[in-house]
Amino acid sequence: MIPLLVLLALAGLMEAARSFAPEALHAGGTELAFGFLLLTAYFTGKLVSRVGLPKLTGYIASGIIVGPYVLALVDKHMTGQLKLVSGITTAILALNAGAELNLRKIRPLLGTVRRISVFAVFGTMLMLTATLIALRPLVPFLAAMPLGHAAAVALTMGVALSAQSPAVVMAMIGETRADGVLTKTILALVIVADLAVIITFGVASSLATAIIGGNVDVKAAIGGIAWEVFGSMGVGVFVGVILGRFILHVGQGVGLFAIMLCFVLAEVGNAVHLDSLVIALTAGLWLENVSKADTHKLLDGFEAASLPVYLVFFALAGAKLDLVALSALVVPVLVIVVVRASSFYAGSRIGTRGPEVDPLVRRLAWIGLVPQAGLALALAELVRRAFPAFGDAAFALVIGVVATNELTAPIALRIALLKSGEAGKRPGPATSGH
Amino acid sequence: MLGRAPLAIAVAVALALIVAATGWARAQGSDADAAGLPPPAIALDAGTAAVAELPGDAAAPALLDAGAAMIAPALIDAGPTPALIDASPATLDAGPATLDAGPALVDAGAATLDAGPAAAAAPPAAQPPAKPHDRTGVVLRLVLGLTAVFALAYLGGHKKVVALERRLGISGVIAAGFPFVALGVIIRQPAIGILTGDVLDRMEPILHFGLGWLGFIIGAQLDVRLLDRVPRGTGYLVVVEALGPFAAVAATAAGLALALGLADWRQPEFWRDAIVIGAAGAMTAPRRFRGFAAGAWREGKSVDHLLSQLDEIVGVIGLLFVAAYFRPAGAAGWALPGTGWLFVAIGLGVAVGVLIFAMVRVPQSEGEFLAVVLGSVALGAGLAGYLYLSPIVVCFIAGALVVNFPCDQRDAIFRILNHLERPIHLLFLIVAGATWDVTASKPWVIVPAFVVARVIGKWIGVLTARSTVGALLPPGYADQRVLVSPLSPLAIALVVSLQGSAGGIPSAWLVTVVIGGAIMTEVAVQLTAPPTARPPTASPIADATPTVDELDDEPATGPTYRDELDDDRGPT
Repeated sequence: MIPLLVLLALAGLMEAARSFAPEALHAGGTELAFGFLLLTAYFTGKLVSRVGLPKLTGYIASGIIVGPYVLALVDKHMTGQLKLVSGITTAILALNAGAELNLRKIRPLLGTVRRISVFAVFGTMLMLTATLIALRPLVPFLAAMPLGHAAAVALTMGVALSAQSPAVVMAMIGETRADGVLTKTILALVIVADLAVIITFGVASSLATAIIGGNVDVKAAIGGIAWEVFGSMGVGVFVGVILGRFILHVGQGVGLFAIMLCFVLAEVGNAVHLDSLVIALTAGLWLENVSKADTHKLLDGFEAASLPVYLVFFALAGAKLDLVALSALVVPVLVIVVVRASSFYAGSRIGTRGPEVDPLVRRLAWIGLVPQAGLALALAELVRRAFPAFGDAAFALVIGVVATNELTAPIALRIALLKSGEAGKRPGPATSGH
Repeated sequence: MLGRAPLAIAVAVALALIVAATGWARAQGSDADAAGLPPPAIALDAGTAAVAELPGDAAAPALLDAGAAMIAPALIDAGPTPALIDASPATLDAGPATLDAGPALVDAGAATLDAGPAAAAAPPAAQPPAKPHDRTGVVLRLVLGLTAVFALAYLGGHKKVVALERRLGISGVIAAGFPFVALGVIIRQPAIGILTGDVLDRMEPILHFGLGWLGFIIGAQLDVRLLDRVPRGTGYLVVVEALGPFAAVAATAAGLALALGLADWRQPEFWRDAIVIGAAGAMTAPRRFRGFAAGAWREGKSVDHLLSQLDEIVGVIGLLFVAAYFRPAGAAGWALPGTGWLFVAIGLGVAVGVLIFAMVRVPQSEGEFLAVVLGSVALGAGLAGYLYLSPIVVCFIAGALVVNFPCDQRDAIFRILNHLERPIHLLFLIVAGATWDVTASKPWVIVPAFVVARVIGKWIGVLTARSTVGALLPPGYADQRVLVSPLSPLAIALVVSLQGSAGGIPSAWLVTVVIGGAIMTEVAVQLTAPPTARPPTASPIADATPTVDELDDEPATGPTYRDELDDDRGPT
């Protein structure tokens, strides 16, 4: 009852404040939006968890409801001001994921991960490309271009549509306190798949724009991608060393120090064309697998300090979704959603053949690939900017798929983790509720 | 192996060196076009200026960078154009550089179109266009510089550093924080260009949040049940001893500002500044200030301690009136009279307080509790800032309500609030330094007068209290009073709060007088401190002497300056 009353009171306060000068840009708007989104996400999460849904779904739903496209209690300017939160959260989640991945422990799983990545991830990219080409009559901007161009665009969109969400997976693992072979496989899988998608998208989009524009600069594209991936790994090792020294010699305030590092990664990484996700992931892997520092100090520090940014991050992701506008694309969106999920399932089954693979992994690992959030939204935006002539329509289609998966996949993943029996296996106190 | 405290200091020094080095590199013209670049903050303001300065092909990658490189909530903003904001790579969990994965695909024309009104409103390119690598350099410098500032503020609050300060005898937060003021002065210089005016404007969300945090702490230690246990007449004593310095300081400083031609009595800012400087002068801090959250008075502690706790309210009330009656020029929104805004501020504080009281009952883990407290303060401060009210006032009322309702979570709230308090103070000192024009000579004339007027005002207040309610009070309450007491750190926050929306930009003379007065007062306090309050000198045997905390456990027998030294146990 309290969460519901609090939500109503929060909405009332926000509406009253917004009536002060709805069109003006205010200095207080940023922290107001931060506090409001944080609290509404938290209490919505509490509410939905009572009916058995993941808190994550509540966070995202709260963003949709209070965001610019429904109640407009938080407008586009405010969400724009908060984009830093997304950058920091990405780095935090990646650092967390890396610090949780002990390569020695997951070595037996690497073969499975590699096979699933090849069959499920790359297979899904191709399947989605084929589906988009087949859907040309239902997708006007594809129908209006020659088949070669349409294929190139479809390939770019196919890669973007295949993107996963390590953020959602990490958050769901945290919420369910899951641990075990399936959890570890899914975690490793989404991280590897994430890297694969980033690299493939760079190549595909470069090729597509070159084909449409008539010039191909493959060398520049490969150079850029190589710098982004390997440069980021190098910087990640450096960051891991710094963090390790801090944990070893200072010890206190590790969570805050790490969050500050994530802030720097999110900002500086971008300025020098490095990927903060790869940097943070590498730093985390270094800490867990090479450094002598106790990564539990980092993870414990993150435990409390990172929940506020998680809450705002997922609420912001929801606030970007315009569900009403997406209703016009319902048929192609649903087709793509079904094909995408089926393709992950089929590819995963093929990749997990053999007696050495745990039956649980064979049955459920594919579900970890289905959720989408930040990466997919990023790629959707890139698609829009890469193809100015029809970018908005392409963007809407990709966003439609992302929105559907964003809302439904966390539920499926939660059920899978609960069903696997791995939920609640992680030692320690209940996580902070994400 | 380095010990922890030296390491923390080493990190602090290293970060300071980063700031210095980035500024030095800038001054040396390591960027090819350094001399021709506009001030960095302007170059970074992609929404209004930099976009326009990056014509043609240069605009595309630069725009992507600008969108991604937002510092804090809006330090390097891509501008208000929604398309541009949405384009930010930092929005996305792929990491910002993903957007740059295929640089060739970014169409310069499209990027320029996305600049929208920002580009359309741009003036003709009077400055040489900034190159993308220049922008990257500027972004890097700013990010690293600001990160260093935040890191220094955080490390300055580290308990090892605080312990070191105590050993050196500089335990007052302003005295200890003077290097931070100096840092602020340095990094605002054009040659370094980190905390420029534009950057300060864009730091407003952080400042608002910090002000709200402090307001909440001060309110949360105002437990009215404690007031029931103080001797009769104490309320009168507090009022008189606060009003004395308030009136003396306000009259002296404002009068001198008028005489020196620094202010015009026909302007509303003059009266606003008089209120603010009076309120700043009325507030005191214990000699060893360890934070508001640690400063709750209880029976057996000194009356000075009680007074230093209660006279913060003078500052809060001053801000309440300033924000209500001195609305920023051209502020949009509801047209209400000043008194109306007074009630809006109080009502808002009450509403937020009741809401927080309900919300803190829900969290089940430490992380959840932190999230709710953080969100609550951000909400309160944001609502206040949104309505051009003072975040300190609104959050003060909310905090006072929460602590005075039956609430099992009080200690947990204090623990969280306490954690960030000192870093916030130190950040304010840096910002205060950045808004301080030390070269203006006239305001310095007012500084000694400020210090003297404050002492005289206190003396008048003590005399008045003694003659009127002295008989009602226990021995020592009204007569054994200390006239030279440190200025409360809230005085600095008061000035910084004007940097935000409440009341408008502070006058230059006000900043100098408050900061200069605070420093000069600290010096006077050190010179006039009674022997019992002098800190132990640093020596090889210092560790063998009782620590400050051990000394604190001695029973207080009267008005002494053994203040809040058992606060590690938290508030009672």
